[in-house]
Amino acid sequence: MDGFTGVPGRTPSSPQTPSPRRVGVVHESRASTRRRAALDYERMQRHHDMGGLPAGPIDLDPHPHAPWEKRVNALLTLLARGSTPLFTVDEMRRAIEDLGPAEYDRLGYYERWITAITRILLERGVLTVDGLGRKLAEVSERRMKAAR
Amino acid sequence: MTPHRFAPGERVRVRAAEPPGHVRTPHYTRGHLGVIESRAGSFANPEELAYGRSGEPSVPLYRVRFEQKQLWPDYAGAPHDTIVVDIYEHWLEPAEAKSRRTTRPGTDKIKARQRRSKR
Repeated sequence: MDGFTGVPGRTPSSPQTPSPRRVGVVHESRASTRRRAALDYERMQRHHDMGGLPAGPIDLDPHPHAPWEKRVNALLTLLARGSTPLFTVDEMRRAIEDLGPAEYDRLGYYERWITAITRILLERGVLTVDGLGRKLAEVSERRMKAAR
Repeated sequence: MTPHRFAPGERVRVRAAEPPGHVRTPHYTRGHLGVIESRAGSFANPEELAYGRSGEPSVPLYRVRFEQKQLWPDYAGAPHDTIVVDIYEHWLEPAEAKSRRTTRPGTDKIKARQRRSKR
């Protein structure tokens, strides 16, 4: 199995050309109705599945993790890997993939994690939107006061 | 444990499907021919687990070997480089099978055009 933290199937040394198949899909959708075009878009290669697509150099230097990043890592371990997990890492990956291309690129690695964890906990009824909102406001206010 | 349909050494083709949800089959392998390198056990279906379901019955998993040159037409590495990818059984079909339904949208027309221009 591919590891959760790895990038499955990524081949950095591969040539950087999209396959002619994708060109075919785009070509077809141009000639069709808007609805058909939308359907084609849904069927195309999903954003996270980027093995072999053009990409810049990869920074391989190890860097220290911020305390909050470590906390997010610990949270996932507690939620998804204990003896009574609340959800699976498969759901986690699904939630990250469902962020959409813009959010996927905008957020950092552990930001994607905590965003996905939050969504799943809301879906599962572990957190409520109102409860989470109030708590976030409380924490925010506390930090503002501390900063003064 | 679900029995494996394919044996090591067998030639298989990855389905050229593009379902909209969470899948574990890298896009660059789809529609391509590979060889079963080994059987890799049987696991709860991650495509079901991803949506909070049980993933049962389990799905056999394989390590499938591909020629890099076949996946990437302009591959610049050694000519016989290979890559091994973990692929679940429901993504594989016997290499001989040429079902129209498994062809990716758009490829039919392109292939037909290529055939015409060769004549």
